[in-house]
Amino acid sequence: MVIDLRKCVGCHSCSVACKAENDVPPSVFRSWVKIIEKGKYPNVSRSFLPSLCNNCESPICVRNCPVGASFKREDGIVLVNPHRCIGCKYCIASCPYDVRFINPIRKIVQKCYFCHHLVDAGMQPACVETCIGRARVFGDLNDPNSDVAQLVAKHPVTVLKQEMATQPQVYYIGADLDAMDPMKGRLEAVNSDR
Amino acid sequence: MGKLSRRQLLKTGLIGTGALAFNQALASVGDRTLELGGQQVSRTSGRIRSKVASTCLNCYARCGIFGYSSDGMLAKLSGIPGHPNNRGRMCAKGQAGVNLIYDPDRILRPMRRVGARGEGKWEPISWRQAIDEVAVRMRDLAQSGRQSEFVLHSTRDVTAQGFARRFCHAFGSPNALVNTPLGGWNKALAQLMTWGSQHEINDVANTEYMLLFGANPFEAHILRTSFVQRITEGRLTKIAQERVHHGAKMVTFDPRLSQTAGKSDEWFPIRPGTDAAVALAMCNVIMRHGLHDREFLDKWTNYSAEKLQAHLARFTPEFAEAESGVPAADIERIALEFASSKPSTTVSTGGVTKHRNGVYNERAIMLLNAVAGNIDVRGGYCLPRTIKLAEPSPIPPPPSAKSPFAQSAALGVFEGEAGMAEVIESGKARVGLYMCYRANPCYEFPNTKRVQNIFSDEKLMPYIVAIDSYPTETAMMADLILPDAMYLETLELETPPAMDLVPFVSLRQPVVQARGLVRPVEEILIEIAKAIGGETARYFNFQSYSEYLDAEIASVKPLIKAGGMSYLEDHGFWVAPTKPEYQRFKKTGFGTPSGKFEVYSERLAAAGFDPLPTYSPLMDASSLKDNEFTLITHQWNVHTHSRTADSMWLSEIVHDNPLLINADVGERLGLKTGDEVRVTSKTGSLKVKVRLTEGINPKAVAISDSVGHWEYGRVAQAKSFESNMPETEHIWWRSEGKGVHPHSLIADDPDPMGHGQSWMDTTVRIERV
Repeated sequence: MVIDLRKCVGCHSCSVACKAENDVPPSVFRSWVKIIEKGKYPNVSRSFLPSLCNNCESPICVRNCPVGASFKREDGIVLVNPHRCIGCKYCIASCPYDVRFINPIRKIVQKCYFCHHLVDAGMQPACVETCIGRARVFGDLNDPNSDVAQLVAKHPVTVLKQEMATQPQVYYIGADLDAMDPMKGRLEAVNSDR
Repeated sequence: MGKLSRRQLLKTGLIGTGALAFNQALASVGDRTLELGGQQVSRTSGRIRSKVASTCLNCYARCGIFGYSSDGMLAKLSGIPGHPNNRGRMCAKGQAGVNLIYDPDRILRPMRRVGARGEGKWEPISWRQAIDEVAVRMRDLAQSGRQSEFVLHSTRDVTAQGFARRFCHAFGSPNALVNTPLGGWNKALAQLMTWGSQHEINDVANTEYMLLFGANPFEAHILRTSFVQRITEGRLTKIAQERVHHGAKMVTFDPRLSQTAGKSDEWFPIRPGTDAAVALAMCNVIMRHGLHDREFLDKWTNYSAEKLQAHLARFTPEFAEAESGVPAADIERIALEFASSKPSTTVSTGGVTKHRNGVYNERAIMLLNAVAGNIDVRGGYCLPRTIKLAEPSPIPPPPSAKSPFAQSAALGVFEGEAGMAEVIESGKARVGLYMCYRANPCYEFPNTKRVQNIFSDEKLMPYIVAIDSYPTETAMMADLILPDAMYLETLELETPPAMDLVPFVSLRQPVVQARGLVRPVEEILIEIAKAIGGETARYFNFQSYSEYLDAEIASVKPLIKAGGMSYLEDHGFWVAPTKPEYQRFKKTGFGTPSGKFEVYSERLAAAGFDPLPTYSPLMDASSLKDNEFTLITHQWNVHTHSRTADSMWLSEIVHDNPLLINADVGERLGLKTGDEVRVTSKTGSLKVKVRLTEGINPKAVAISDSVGHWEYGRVAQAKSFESNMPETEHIWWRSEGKGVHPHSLIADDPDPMGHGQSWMDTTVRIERV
């Protein structure tokens, strides 16, 4: 997935579309938008960083799962088998991106899996479909003609925490370094537990 | 992503889900692209979900939507991919329609008050009883010649507003009060007076310069989802019409750093209510440099370029700087950029119009577009294109009695809710029966305490009927509640302005079976009219509302040819078979008495107002003491003003509304984020947490509405509770609070011309608690 932050408007349509699509209960999110405010009055700006599971090419969570519940599909999507998951949270602890959580109702580990049920049926993930800034683009990076491959080829892109060598598969165009810094404050802290 | 080709990926998927039905999807998508919407499968069974095309109404934008359901329950909403406005996209509010339809606190059957008014004790009654109860009282009014004591107050839903007016007139009352979208009466009046249409279309996808005055389209706009896509498109460089389209520059004037201002190329924290000074100074600069569109001004306005230049002479950048705080050099520079980037457009919304000088502000901004040559050109400031539906005859004649609520009588345009509290409280209007449809004045109106007092006074308001889907603050003060089908359960026609300038008709139809005993408002009004009988019933001789709709589209011949209502039921919308045509005014003229763009308005002059676009200062900035500020209100990206707080998904993201205050000022007052302050105005006082921010003018403080409900439902009040949905037990934000409602601080003080409420003009005092 490519997220073109020149087009992101920080609207949370993705956050809510994901809740609707994947039946995500209150207190946890599979997809959310971090919003930071930068600068000193009157030279102030905002930056948005929508984040979700990076479905890494080299996922630490899969390596650390003691029961083999987390696995990577051949097409690259990282999944959790709900029947195998024992809720030990090793994966939550090892994920550098804090994208996994225990579902408070079902008590198992969940995360974003690029809406694989839609992808399997020939459709794009819910957040991509709904994005009102048209910032999110999804597809097969190995296909040079795909929109994602074209965007990655033509623009400088970044990924989150490259130093973790997980090879994240969510690429950002025009990301703000401060917004990518996990220690930087979140504007909406007052309005969210995250 | 992975190492597989697209074809293999699809195969893996097919084996995974194993449904034969997918073959079709596979064939139609080829082996390259995954479809972007237009279809849905169940997450658990993989079955394709049934879908119904409809039109959203969670805000005024009215996007085309598909409602997907399984087993008779609405499962998901998303945009219709080919829709001319929202093009398959849908905002957070739209997505949350699923929450709103299954809200455990919805009113599902008619209820009659049994306790004291406002006490919250109700008995369920049948529809027959409920309709009779209303009809008997209305017949009483009619028999004693007191028809004009009937008030019908409706909101937002434009289609139903027309029907409500018909009902009022058929009964013989002139009091069909409407709430215009976004409280934008001032904008509507300014536009009608100037060029004869309301709601301009800013062609932002094709523009090279966007100048935003008090506009925050990333969070709120009358066509938001459609508009935002075109803004992001317009800001990227691309090849269009065989030339390079430079990414448009975006400059925002707003006292508060909104999401939009925060992503603009430049942000100017202008002093509230001074936009006209800046716009007129820019006109002045452009004309001084000879960059104005002389041909348009001389040929298509009613005021020559020469006379205009003389009028503008006193609005210098220095004058504007003194008023607005925006540096004169920046005004000069941006004016020149705006005039020399072709095409360019302004975007102006609530921030400029929700003032006591709102009409003047909007007229000044319209003039700026005329001067720069942007009127109805590609990438400019365009006239809206909509399809007019014909109201079926017989049409009830408007009653001869003048409505005591009628505003702007001299301008003869509106009959509206502004000043309603004053008119009722002062006894200028006697109310026998007040009926509201989705209007919630006890929460939405300024000076809410006063409105609540009026509603609790059984002498002033002897009988209140609330037609609503939710237990709103106003419904809880009613004597009778008639449960209304919400927008996902009703049949209505809409004709929103077209973003791409090709008009269309859009159908709202039930996406799923209606819950409980709810009925669409139109059917309720038909029933009541029939029960009243006599002359009233004559205009409501419909089996059902769909008969009325059939008659409404009958005049749109190409739509009838395409299949009429059944075409709309299948597709959800119908686009007129025309091409976008710019500068149509060259053929048809403008919809004003002179047929021109009226820089000089005879009608405003006749009504005793300044006929030319001007700046009317609201207050002397230096009169504010150290702890006094101008309070401005704002809207969140995930909420409407008053009707979305009971959505779990939305309120989880925003449930609280801290008072935003400039960081330096806050420190000077000894405040830090999270501290409580008391905010006092001349109408009220409340306690609220502050948030210090670099993103606000030091003499302004900002707070949102949308939250702070004391009725409406338990989600809106941040309570967790047991229901048939396990999620409601996991509502976690009670400790953070449900927010406060700021309207009690704001006086009922509309613009004298447009009668739109001045939400942004309140002076408040702040003290540490």
